[in-house]
Amino acid sequence: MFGYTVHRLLIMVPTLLAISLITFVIIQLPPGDYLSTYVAELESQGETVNAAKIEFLRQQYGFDKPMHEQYLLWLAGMFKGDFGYSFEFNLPVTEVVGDRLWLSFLVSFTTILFTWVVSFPIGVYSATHQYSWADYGLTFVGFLGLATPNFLLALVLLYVANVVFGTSIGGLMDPRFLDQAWSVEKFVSVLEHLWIPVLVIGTSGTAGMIRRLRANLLDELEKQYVVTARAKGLHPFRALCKYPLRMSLNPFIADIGNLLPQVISGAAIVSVVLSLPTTGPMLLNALRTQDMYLAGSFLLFLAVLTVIGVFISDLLLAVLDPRIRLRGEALR
Amino acid sequence: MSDAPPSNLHRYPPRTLVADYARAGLGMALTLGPLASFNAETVMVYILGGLGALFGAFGLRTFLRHMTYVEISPREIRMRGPVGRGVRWQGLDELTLKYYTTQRDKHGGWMELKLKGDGCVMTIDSSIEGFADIAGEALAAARAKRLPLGDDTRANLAALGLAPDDDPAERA
Repeated sequence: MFGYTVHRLLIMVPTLLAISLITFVIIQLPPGDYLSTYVAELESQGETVNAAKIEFLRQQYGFDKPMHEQYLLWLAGMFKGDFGYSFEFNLPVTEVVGDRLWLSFLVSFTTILFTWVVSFPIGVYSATHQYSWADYGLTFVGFLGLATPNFLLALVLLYVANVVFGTSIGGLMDPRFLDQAWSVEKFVSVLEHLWIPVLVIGTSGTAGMIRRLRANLLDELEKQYVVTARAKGLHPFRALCKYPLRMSLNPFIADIGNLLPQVISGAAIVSVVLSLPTTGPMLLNALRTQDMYLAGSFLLFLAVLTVIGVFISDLLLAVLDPRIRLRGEALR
Repeated sequence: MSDAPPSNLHRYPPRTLVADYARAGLGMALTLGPLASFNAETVMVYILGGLGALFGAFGLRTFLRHMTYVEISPREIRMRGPVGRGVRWQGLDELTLKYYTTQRDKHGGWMELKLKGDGCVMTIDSSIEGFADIAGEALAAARAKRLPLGDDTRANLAALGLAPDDDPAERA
């Protein structure tokens, strides 16, 4: 297992280099750059643009250099912890991201937890009580969650939270805490606001997870080894937990590869509707305005999380999934 | 005079060892190399430092494997090298043979033979030369002691061509 871990870690290096190159090229592909977008915006507002100043900024930001040189400078900077400069915010990328990263992590991690905690027991119950009234009811609720647009649910919950609980509209905390240092009151305010995005983003994920877990577990429960175990008088709970449940957990584990980048990117549209200070809207805006180092750093970070997530899920699958080697297969 | 070891001696093949040394070296170069250019307060120092230590540990493990060989005698199985240890066949308490794979079709995996007894644990990777012979000897000892074998272990032994329920004399 140790050898495999090292082997996979080494493969990550060329993978991430390739992703960083592709990301950088794609961000540069649209015609123009951040400054030309900026100039066009000023001109559309009827403002005059100082050509000399723009040329100075172009040299200052390195836009006059060839693309490969810009890429290598960006890459070399990253090895020193410098992820570049955000033109729009006039700040280093690390400072721009700042608190947003942690708030995104909080929202997304709680959402993932909510999804797993809710979907796991429901999925198991639905599979073990197939075609019962409870199964039909939970399936109906699941489909309802899957079919309801998140932004609509967000608006409804914002209204309910404001009218019933007096929670301020939008954001992840009361406006009075926005520029204050972290305190118990600020944390409580975050918790008061947190349940809305968690419920909104988590509902659709929960419904999908319930359906997948139910389908996987039903497949396993119909296999011969489970029938044999039951016929031999094994307790139903043990016959469920010993292998079928472990096998049906595969989608949960395999999903880690997708979940980790979601922790950071979050649900951008819901974040915009709920005015959440998370990273999703910022990434969207950075891509729109061609703020290339901010967007590039974000996308590379998401790629790193994807690669790490897939790596973790592969390791967990190898350890948790009881495997038997097939006859006649050559060993490594 | 031939350099080939006697049939009761088993080593990790040079090709595997060279590949592992290359991985360890490349990993350390890629992690510890850029480390010099970082500010000590940057979180990347800890990440790269941790990864560098991991690759270093892998290099050390490869070196230990390089210096180690497994010797099988009618009395015991012994790992000879810097971290030598052994299990007498009479003292064998547990035999497990696990198979690890990350692919759904169960291909491209590797095995791990774990022997417990005489107060020590020996883990042998399937990349060693003559792995099936080692597993066969361990199975014979386990059978002589009537040790219970897990379902996975039995199936994996069978996949190696070793029938855990048969009598070895009959098989021969």
